[in-house]
Amino acid sequence: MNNVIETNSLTKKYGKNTVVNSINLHVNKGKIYGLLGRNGAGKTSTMKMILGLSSVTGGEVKLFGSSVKGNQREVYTRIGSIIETPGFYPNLTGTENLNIFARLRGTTKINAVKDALKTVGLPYGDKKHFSSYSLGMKQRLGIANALLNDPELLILDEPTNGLDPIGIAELREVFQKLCSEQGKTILISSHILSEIALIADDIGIIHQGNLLEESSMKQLEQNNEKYIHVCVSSLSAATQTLERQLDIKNYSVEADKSLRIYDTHIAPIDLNKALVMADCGVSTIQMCQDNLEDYFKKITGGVGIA
Amino acid sequence: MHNTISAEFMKIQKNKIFLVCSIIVIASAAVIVIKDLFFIEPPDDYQSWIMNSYVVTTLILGIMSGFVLTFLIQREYEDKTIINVLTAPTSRFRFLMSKLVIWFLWYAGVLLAIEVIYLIGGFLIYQGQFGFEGAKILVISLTKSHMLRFIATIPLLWIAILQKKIFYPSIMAALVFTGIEMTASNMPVQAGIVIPWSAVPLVGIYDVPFPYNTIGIVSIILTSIIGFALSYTSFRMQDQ
Repeated sequence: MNNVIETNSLTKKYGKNTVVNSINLHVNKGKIYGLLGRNGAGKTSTMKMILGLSSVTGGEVKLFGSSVKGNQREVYTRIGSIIETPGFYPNLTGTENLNIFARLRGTTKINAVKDALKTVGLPYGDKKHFSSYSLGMKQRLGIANALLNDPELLILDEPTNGLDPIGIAELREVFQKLCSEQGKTILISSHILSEIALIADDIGIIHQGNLLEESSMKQLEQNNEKYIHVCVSSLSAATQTLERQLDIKNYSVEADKSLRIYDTHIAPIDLNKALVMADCGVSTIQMCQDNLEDYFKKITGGVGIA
Repeated sequence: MHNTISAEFMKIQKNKIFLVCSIIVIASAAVIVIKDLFFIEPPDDYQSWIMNSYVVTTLILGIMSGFVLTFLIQREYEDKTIINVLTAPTSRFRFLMSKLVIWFLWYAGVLLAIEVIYLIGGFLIYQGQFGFEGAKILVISLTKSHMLRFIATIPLLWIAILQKKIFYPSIMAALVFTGIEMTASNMPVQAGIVIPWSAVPLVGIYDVPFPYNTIGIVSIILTSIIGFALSYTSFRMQDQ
């Protein structure tokens, strides 16, 4: 797989406190990677280390297939980012602020600032100072700044903070287009699971500094789709009944020797009857479906997203 | 580097701190001239007048310079623009150098304005006396001493980096440096010449002889090199 971001045992410590513990992240080219975690899980710390804003205590960051060390300027010009609440000069307008950052980046594309502002729905050349912007406008300006130099990789730390539902939906479309039409890679962090579920191709779940899981959304959806959960006395009898008698092949055997049957066209009552008639005792039979939040709770062992 | 410095100029547009600090320094020079021209009997010789002017300039320019540098650094932390600047990307070295350049350009510009005002004042107050010789002494002594002073106060950059959003430590340090400079004439030369901030007037205005002038210049230059090195090291190690 062509990894745009790859971390090997990435670690960050402040004194004795480990905020990021040996994380191995893999962000594939042209995909949207959702980094999920509660507040304080280590999402922003991880992103800061990737961007060189924060020193690395241990491990390595590779961007575009090469180590960042000694290569910073060449690598970081290909990245656009928004970290925490975006910071701009309060006495200047949005356009003036972006002109400054375009100059810093050495952006040569004509109308780069205008195009970036248009993408996020902010006016070009207006007289409103940044200090008068609403939270949503500030966030949009941050995204515009990230898009200024037409980067290959976007690293976005909770970019929809402060946006209303329409604004969130609009930005979701923007990100999806950037990925599907322009082949950009996006690493996006959030604690709004529903948003990530709509947008991400891959996800990583980070909890107390540890990357607990990395998975594609397809795999996750399979894990989360509806299924009939069955606990039986004889696994072999049950699987034979499923395959030969009921022609059900889409099932999995769990570690606790229970069955998850994803072919949910069969009614549980009929399934129960078939298993019992095959001398297979059924102790539990129920329809289930995990949503992403349930899955997240299961993985983190917590009480849900903060 | 050109882009980084150019961006710094763009940042200070519409900025009131720069304007206010410049006005205060330039106005203080103008007040001295007006006072001696119209209200108070000036010293008999222009050399004493130049010395008095230096003392006032030292005080006001020293403090305002501290304000300007503090503002240049502190606003980036306060407004959190430092994250956007560093991810542009801008190297930490270029960031510090661009701040140093802008600070120096402000300092040099204001110093030039002060010297023009004092030149005009010298010619008006000491008509027939001041002449080319007086002008030469004024320009050389003020330029030499204030340029040495700028170099000696580069450690303020380190303090500004360490303090991040807090405003007062670097201002206090600027006051301390200025205070030490102003007490130079009351110190024994052997002690004063080693301390970089008291070495400034000893070398720049009082023109101490060899080897004191060499020791003073070395002390000033070493302080600036160490100050910048500490600034860069601290900034590099700093998590944003």
